[in-house]
Amino acid sequence: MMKRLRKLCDNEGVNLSEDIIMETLHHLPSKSLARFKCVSKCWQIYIADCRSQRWRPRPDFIGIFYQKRKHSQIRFFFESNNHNIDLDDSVNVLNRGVYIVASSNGFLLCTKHRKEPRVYCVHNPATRQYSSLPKTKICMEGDIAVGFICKVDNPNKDVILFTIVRYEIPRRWDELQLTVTIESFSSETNVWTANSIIFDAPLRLCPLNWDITSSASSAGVINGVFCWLDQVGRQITVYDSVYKCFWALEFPEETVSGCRCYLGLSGRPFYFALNYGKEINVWKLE
Amino acid sequence: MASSSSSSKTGLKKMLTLKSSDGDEFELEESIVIQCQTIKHMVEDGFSLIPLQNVDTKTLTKIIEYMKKHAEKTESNKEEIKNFNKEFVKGSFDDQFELVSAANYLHINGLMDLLCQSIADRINNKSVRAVREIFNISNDYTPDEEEKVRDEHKWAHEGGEFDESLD
Repeated sequence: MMKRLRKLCDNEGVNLSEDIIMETLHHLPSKSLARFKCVSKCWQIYIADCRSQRWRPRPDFIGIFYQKRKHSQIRFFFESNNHNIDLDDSVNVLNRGVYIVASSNGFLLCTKHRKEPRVYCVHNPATRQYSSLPKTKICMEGDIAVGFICKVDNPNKDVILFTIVRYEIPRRWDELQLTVTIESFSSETNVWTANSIIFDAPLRLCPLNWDITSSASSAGVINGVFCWLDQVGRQITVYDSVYKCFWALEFPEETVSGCRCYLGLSGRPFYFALNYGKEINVWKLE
Repeated sequence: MASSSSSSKTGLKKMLTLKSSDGDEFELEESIVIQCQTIKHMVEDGFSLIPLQNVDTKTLTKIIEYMKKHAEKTESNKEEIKNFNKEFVKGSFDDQFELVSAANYLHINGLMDLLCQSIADRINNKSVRAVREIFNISNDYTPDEEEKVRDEHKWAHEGGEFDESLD
């Protein structure tokens, strides 16, 4: 008993050293860090330091977000250790099930509506922060091709920059099209803008998936260039958001026809890789 | 490790004595103790009795328990170690603070990681007020200043109730 009393007294002054507090803060998610800035002025300084280090590239965090069927848990698959984490909990802040439309750098683009989505939100599963975007200008009734790129602009202030691009797949996709309307949103302006592009040569805008029931796939984005894999039309549709131009790249002739493939991108110069299960074709865009 | 080669040659395990701040002595095999960088360096300097002025008997006992278990670590007992770690971090905040200070002083990296993660997990959902209490921090913001910091990160203060408890 005496020992216990003595112990309690000793502990009145338990003051952890700065480096231990910093080390502990490193293990907290960003949302808690932001909240604990209110603890004291010292903690605010520690946390600012912590956060500035947080956005360093983390090679062990390479993986993909995925979602099974509709309205089910959103999960993250870590490539490095074959490990899944459930993000179900964090998406609950959105009140009801959401569909992942696209993901970029750890951020998710979600929508509640499977059909004719006009309201999107950007969600950060790590901090549980989300922001709903204004309603889109255009109502797209058919399949929609979406592209999303998000990056951290200022880690101290939790500022992210993102761009969303979308276009509609015409119902009669077998017909040649002369124009496409690209609707895009930038977090810098906070408005949706629509922009019609007239093609140099007519092209087909096909559904992006063989499986019509699954939602259209999102674009791979590299240096402001959005690339969609069009399996039906055996082409890659490309939108350059810097030069505001749109074109289609046909698959090289030697590629196997009729089977499912996946697109990988790498810059610059652009390399495309198509994975056909057994083989991977890589080609360079010149 | 280099320092264990001498023991294999003689067939005898080299023993070390750790002395807590309360004066209690613990005799341990060198191969166990060298997980701790601070002691490893002292051993390399030729010490065999190591006084630890910053670590009391209660804390040292726990730390030795940790080092013994982790010295047994192999490919096949991962699950066992995991369960051990889980049990190990179950004490009060004050106990954990004592341990983490000792682990930091002794430079036992694995234990530092384990404890920091455990403390972080436990405070993750706590209110700002509870965190101040737990860490014994006085609030040096004026109400206006605090409000301003809070406003900058409004989203972080939303999303349900935070835990006010201190354990």
